[in-house]
Amino acid sequence: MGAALSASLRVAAPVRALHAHVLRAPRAWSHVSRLSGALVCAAALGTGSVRAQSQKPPAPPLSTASGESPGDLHGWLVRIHDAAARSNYVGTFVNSTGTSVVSSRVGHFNEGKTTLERVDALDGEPRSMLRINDEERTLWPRYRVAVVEPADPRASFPALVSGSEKHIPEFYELHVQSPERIAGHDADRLLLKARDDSRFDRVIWADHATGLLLRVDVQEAGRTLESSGFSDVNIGVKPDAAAIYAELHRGDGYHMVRREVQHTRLEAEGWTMQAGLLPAGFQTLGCVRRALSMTGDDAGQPKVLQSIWSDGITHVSLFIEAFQPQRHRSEGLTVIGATHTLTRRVNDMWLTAVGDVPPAALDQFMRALERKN
Amino acid sequence: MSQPDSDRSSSRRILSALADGDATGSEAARAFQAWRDDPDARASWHAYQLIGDVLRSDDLAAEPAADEAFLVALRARLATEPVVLAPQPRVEEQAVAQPVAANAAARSRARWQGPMAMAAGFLAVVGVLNVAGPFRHGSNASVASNGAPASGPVLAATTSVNNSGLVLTSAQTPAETKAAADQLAPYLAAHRQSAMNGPFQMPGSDLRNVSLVQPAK
Repeated sequence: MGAALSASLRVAAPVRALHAHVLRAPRAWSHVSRLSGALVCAAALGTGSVRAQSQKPPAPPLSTASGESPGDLHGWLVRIHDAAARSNYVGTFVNSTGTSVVSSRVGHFNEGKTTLERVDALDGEPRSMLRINDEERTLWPRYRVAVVEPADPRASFPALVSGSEKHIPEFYELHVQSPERIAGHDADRLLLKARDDSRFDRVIWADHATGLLLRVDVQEAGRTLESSGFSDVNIGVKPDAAAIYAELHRGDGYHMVRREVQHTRLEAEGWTMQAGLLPAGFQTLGCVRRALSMTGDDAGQPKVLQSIWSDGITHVSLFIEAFQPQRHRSEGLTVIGATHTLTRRVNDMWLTAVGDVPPAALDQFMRALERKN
Repeated sequence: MSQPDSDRSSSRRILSALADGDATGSEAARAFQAWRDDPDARASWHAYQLIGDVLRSDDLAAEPAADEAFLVALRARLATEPVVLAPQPRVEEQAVAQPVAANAAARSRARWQGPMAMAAGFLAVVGVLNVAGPFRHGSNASVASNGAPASGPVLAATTSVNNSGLVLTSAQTPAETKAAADQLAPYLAAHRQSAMNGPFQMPGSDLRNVSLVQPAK
């Protein structure tokens, strides 16, 4: 499915170069609606009816265990992952950093192997994201631009895919806490307490009935840096075929831009990471070469190298590019909620490290980077 | 502080040139030293400024004592102000990350101020930003293959410390903060998109923090 979609969009790419391309619903997208039958998206965002899913979710791991054993943590991760892959839901998602609140409307549907997700930003510049399996479209209605980007399947739920989840308990301590009520649902509350200073604590609320993630707080020493979760959510929404068909045509008439991401390796690009200097527990998820532009209009944009690292729970990106005085003016640390961004010029290179980790950890990534001779 | 008349007249000439904006670099350095060391030079400097001010407007005439009172008050105020991060020369130091959260409260102000000042760069935030504990500037980052120092452009930001030992840094002007957000937005978007389906990533979470940014078109 994903391959068919990619192929269809690739055909459109040369046309895009003429800057006159009118986006039509690709065959693959129509195929999605046939595949998913009654799968719904848009209408459910507003008026979709709700019913319980017939598929019964697995029971949660024993909540009586104040578990610190690897088995417990693995059980919860699998439960949360399965719920994300199985649930149909519609809700309002709120992200709060203490100084800003950003909301979006979220619809997420799974049927068989097809996943469809729509996110509409409710604050700031209007934009919508539509994701079908491993293809993502960002629509900018005021600009009538649609940016199409393939998601990296290797980056999908890295811990379980790579099998490295068994190492997570070495870096996070699991505490199962008292259940709470979140966004209208009874929720299991978990604390993943960082065992060192290279990462933050996370408090996680998962729907008790289905395991769906309802809220995640990032904390440092008991202080909440950032909170993301649903203010309300309907789980088990019934799909509507007409609505999804309308959704697939929502980008009609938009200028379509396809963002290219080239997969590579850090070593192949002349760099290496000194493993001994990295924060403990972080493994590489991959390396890509990409242009950076919000609208994906990559023509003439300088390419940057992005090296991605994960400890199974959170991830860090290290961007490497040539220093350009007109673009790279502010060296130092920027903090927005839990997201820390460290920028630094090193000779003729400009490094940007981003992650929901303490600045010292970002600094370690920068120091571990070494030019191969 | 006595000095030969020739020296004195020379330093007056240089001060005068400095007041007119005509002093060369070395002359300016000598003028600064004279101003610092010689009360007469300070009086002369004030006189030159006063002459210029009165030429521009009578309202600008002021007693020399007013300057001194202002300076004393300014110094007293500066002594109570939080530290202003400023450019520092790079120094070689251990590539050892300090514990960030633990014992933050116990850390002395002097201990974190050093590394933070060296970290300098700028600390921009949307609103107020909390930075816990020290981190080190990349003095000996191994990318520096030719060993040249890499001190970049540095902007000042005002920091203070709260009672938890956390460094609070106020944003600069809204325009600078917006510029910083604009500069970082594509990086944040690429970062979030690259691991969308992490174990605790939620739909919509990749839109956080970048909603202020508009596409350049």
